[in-house]
Amino acid sequence: MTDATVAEVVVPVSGGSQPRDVYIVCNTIDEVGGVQRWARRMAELFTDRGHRVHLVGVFAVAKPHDFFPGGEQPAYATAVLHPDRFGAPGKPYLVRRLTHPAVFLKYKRWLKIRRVGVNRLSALFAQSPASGVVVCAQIQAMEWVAQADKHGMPVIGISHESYAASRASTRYGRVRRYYAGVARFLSLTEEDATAWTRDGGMFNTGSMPNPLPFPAKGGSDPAAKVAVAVGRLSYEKGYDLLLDAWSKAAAGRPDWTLKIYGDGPERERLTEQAAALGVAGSVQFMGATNEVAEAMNGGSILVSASRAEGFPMTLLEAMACALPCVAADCAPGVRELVRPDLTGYLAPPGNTDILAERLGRLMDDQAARERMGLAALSRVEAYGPEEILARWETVFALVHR
Amino acid sequence: MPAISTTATATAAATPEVSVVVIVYNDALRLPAAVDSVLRQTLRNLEVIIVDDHSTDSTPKVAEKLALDPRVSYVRLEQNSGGCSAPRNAGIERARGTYVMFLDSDDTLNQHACMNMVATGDESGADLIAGVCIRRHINRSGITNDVPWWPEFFNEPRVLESISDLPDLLRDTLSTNKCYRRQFLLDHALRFPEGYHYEDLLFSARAYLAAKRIALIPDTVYYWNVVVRAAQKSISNRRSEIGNLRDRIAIHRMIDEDLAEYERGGGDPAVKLHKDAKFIGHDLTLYLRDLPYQDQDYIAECTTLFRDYLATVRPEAFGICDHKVAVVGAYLLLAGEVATAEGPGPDWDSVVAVAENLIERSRITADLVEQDARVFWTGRHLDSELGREALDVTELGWQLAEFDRANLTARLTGLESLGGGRVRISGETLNVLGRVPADAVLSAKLDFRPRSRAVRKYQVKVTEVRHEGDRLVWSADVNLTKTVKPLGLIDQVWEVTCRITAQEAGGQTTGGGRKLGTASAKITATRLPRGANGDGDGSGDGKQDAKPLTVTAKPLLTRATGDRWVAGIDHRGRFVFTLTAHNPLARAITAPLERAEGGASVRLLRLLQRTNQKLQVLSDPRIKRDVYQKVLVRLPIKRGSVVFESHLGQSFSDNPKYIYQALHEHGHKGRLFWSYADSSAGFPADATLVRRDSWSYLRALARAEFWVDNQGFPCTLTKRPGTTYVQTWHGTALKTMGADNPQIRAMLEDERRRLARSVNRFDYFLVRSEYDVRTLIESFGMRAEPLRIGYPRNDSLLAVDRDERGRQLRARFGFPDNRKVVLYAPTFRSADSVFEPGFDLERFAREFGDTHLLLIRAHYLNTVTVPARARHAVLDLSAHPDVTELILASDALVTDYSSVIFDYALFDRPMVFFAPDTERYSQDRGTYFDLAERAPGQWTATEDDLFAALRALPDPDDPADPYRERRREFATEFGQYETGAAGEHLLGKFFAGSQKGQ
Repeated sequence: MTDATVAEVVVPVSGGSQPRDVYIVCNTIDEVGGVQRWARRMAELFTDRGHRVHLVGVFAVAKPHDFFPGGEQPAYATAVLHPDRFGAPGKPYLVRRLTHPAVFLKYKRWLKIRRVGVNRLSALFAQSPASGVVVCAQIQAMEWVAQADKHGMPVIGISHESYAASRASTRYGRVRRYYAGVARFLSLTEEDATAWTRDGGMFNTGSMPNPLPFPAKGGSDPAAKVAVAVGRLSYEKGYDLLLDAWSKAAAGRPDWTLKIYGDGPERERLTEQAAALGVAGSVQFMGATNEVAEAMNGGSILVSASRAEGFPMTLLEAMACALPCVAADCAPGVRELVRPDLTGYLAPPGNTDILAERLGRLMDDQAARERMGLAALSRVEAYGPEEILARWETVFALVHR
Repeated sequence: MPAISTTATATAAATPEVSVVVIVYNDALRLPAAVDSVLRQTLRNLEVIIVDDHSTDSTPKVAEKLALDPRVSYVRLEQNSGGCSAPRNAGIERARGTYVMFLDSDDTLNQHACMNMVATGDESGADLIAGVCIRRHINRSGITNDVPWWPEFFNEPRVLESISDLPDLLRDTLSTNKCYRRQFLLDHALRFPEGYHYEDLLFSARAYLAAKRIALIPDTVYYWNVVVRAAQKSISNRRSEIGNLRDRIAIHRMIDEDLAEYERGGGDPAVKLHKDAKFIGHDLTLYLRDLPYQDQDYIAECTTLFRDYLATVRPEAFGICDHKVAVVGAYLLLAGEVATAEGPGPDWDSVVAVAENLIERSRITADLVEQDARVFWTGRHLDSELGREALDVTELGWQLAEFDRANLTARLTGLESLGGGRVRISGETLNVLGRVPADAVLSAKLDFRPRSRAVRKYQVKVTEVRHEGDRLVWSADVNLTKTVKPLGLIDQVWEVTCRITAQEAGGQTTGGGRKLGTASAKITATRLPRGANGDGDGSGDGKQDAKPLTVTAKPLLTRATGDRWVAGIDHRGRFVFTLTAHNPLARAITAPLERAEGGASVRLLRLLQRTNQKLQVLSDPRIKRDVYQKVLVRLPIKRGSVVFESHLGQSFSDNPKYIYQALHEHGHKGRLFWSYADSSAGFPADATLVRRDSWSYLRALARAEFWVDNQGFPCTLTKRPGTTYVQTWHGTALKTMGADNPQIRAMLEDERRRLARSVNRFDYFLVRSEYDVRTLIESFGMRAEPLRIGYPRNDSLLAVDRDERGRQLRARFGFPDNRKVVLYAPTFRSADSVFEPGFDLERFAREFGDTHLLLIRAHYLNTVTVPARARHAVLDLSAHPDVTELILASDALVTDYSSVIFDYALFDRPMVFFAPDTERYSQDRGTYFDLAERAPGQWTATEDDLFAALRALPDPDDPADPYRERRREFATEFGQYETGAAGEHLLGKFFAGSQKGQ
């Protein structure tokens, strides 16, 4: 793995910031998923920079989330191609076409409806000069983007998960098919981009991490005997493994607490598990919070036992608060941020013994916490909004050359 | 520089990012595709400069039409230059872009190539950017085969500050997979040398040396199309190519001058060293491969040219070049007496051996010489230090190859016609390093087999085979006409293989000596021997170019498909008989198949090949899965049918084997199926054998009443409610399993669910103790009912007659009587690697060779090499599928963490543990308990301790054995349900009353 980090990228002087039309196309835009929040954040940042942003969703959502409860209007334009549909019927496979002809006919009818949506998208694209850019954020939306008339605008495809995660899902084949010809296909890390090139046969790869949601100002106290974990309480985030590791690490370190911020379907099971392990006293479930920085600043270590990550925002946010991280090495995104002995420690995914040992090491060494926290803070500067936007400008300029 | 005439059209005002120079000569057909691949690049601001090397066909018209596009311009050279240099240089002159790339008219660029080059160039500031070139071989049927060019340099994106960071990069001499900063080309006046072949070599070398920074990207940028012409029939005559060789060497001398200047300017001397090593390993081998098949003048001149050039090569290059055989050839050409115009010299045979090995790398071709524990290609030149270094081929490992696994060259020495369709074929096989002792008993056969699909083969016993010096000489009389009957049409070329079986002369103990096995090798020759001429006239005038031997042939499809056998040497140096047509009817029929293109029969053949490719879709696993789920599982269940599988079809072994044997003896009424993965060899003939994942396999599983296996049938296949799945498993677990295994804990929901679904198919699960119930059934959360009966494979370990069985097995394996048999069964280390025992086998053989016999049983994925000196005391039995038999035949066990300990404990014989790398092992996975603490035998971590323990091995049932109690406790705890009657219990539970006749 090359050691080229984000901070070493050379941003060319020429190019500047020419205002453009930027279309961000997602499957849906009215729900609170990771991709949607990313899309809205990027839309705001691009608009602040002076670009004209159109946020386009393909499908509607049964229970749309109101992103502007105060009644304000977004600074960017939004549109939905199929406001009356929530999804597409699946394409029946070879044998099914023969055994279920009704399903096949339904699919054929759907193709006609899809064409209507494609035409709507083409009409949206037609409003812009050729200096515009189309950013396709999800692979299903690419079916519409591919068929629409882009009037000479180049397409940038985005993947929000690691190569390994795509590889293990149906998205792998679809990415190789639909993103093969787009001008650039951006992954979350350089390591993922190289994997797509070397193993996935994609020759238009690049990388683009997610920007920090708040400024990197530090603020945590290395002396605090509090470990913090933040994230949705889902199976994927591995809180059951975390509690296992905590029970081993906290034994013999009675003055330490683990504060878990977040909510989700596993909450009850985790509370029971904490009680069964005998750590209910040192573990506090703080519930969901919007003030992530404040929550993190209350601790001196961030710990994560995730089973899967794309670009781990939690780690990014923790480093912005000058927290060293002890994390399960489950994705290139984790490896890019957490450098062992520098900004934190890594443990093999699923191995709670080693995670506990590393966590314990950091719990015992305040000087190390302070040193690593500062190193983390300086490392994370390259992920600030200004730096990330500058990288986007380079990509915009590149696809127009 | 020739004057150029241009028909340039107005080009865009903005400076192009990249100028792509497309060179063309008489290639109107493919030029549009090449230019199109550039115009469709994702990078749009580029220009195409078509440089026409004065074509005489319709290329100019085609190019002018393409030049109507504003980004394309067209240049025509005033006269043909005969090479690539002048056109490319003309392109460089006219280019206006920041970067320059080169494209041949019959190749194409990947659509992202230019954008990748430009982005990398900007980011890194490199003068030269290189990406992956794919060689695309297109055969006559239109089927392509892609091979990447030097992929090892392009695994990761990389920036080199200069060529000395990676001198091996000199091997990538192409100029087309690269992008050059135009200012860099101008500053250093880099141009292609005109009037030479191999101009790329010089241009690339100069560019590498001059570049301030070089960037490498893993992206494919260039598709180099190669049309594969008709298959080669024989080794081509190079007489006319001596000029090419002179050019190649001349170019290398020019490169050497540049390198000398580079070093004078402070450059790294390692660069020249690597270039020299590359010359030896690559350029030289191109000519060395078929040198012996050329005529004497060519050989003499070639030798002289190489000798003169190799004298300028640095001697250290011989040491760093990793192509050992090429180094041997280079040294012999430099310092040996190889050949003159008069004839071959004393080192000629060694050079012939080098060439033969280059053609087929697995062939052992030289008469190796052993000296001071090192192995050399020849006994000559060992007095010189460079000679000893260059001729040392110990690393090739040929001295370790077993007689029956070595590809020992069999050379043709005599071929004569005896009349009436009979021929005498004589030859000699190498007896490398005296592997076959002089008193060994030999027998041999000749195999006649067609080169393509072997539909039929014929064997002829060799009448005479004997030792002669360091060769095994043989001779056979064959009635070719009557014995070898080809089909005709599809099997025209037949190869001859010599198979020699050797057995050591009557040994000290019982019966004959050790069987060395059968070595087989395809017969090769550099030329047909004297006497191989004419049909029955035996004139023997010894002329080399005389007509090759011809004999009447009688193909099964009648004389209309061919009527003569003609002896010859094919393009891989093998001795072959070719079925040719002599009579007019046969000529008319076979002629179309010979032609390279055209003809309805050839088009039909191509269509068939393409259709065959498309039909592969029927083997699509998704279709198989769908048909299984929807159709096959609805078929009625076949009463009494059982499908067995062991280790995913790898072998006929373990619990399923013993259950099958018991069932078979029991006279079970119902079809018994066995699944095999690759080869059905070793599987019982009376069962119905089905290949794993084949349609018959799926049918068998869908209709079976019982599924019996020890790892898991394919997880995509659901089990019907009417089928009973008995999971016998393959061993008690020391390593953490199921929810205790970190790898499984790290799985995501759908993977976890898939695992659960797969494991919940088990209806019954065999266990040996409550420990198994906890660590296997509970940890995986299985719903299967535990069968507390133990393993059928271990029944024989507890049988009353196990000592007698052990004796019988020893006799069957051929173990000497008076030795203590020690089974060494370590656990799996890493896949696909040579297994390293951790202790010195040769030392073991020295210290224990007379009293002990070591059986190595490594994991089937690892290969074991037993050094020659240890072979009398160490046997590799890793390929033997049944461990239980090895246990029965043994007196003691040496292991580390293998689960064989749980079974061996039942056998109640001494166990020694040898674990030199404890820490590394426990880090990865974790174990359920610390084996070192509870080991039922001595725990050692060093070779000396191990050997001491072996020396002190107690006899079985020795009351003074300190570990006897521990062993019995161990056996009781982990094998509490083992009674020796597991097989009986199983049969009673599921198959009582299923015998035939009931």
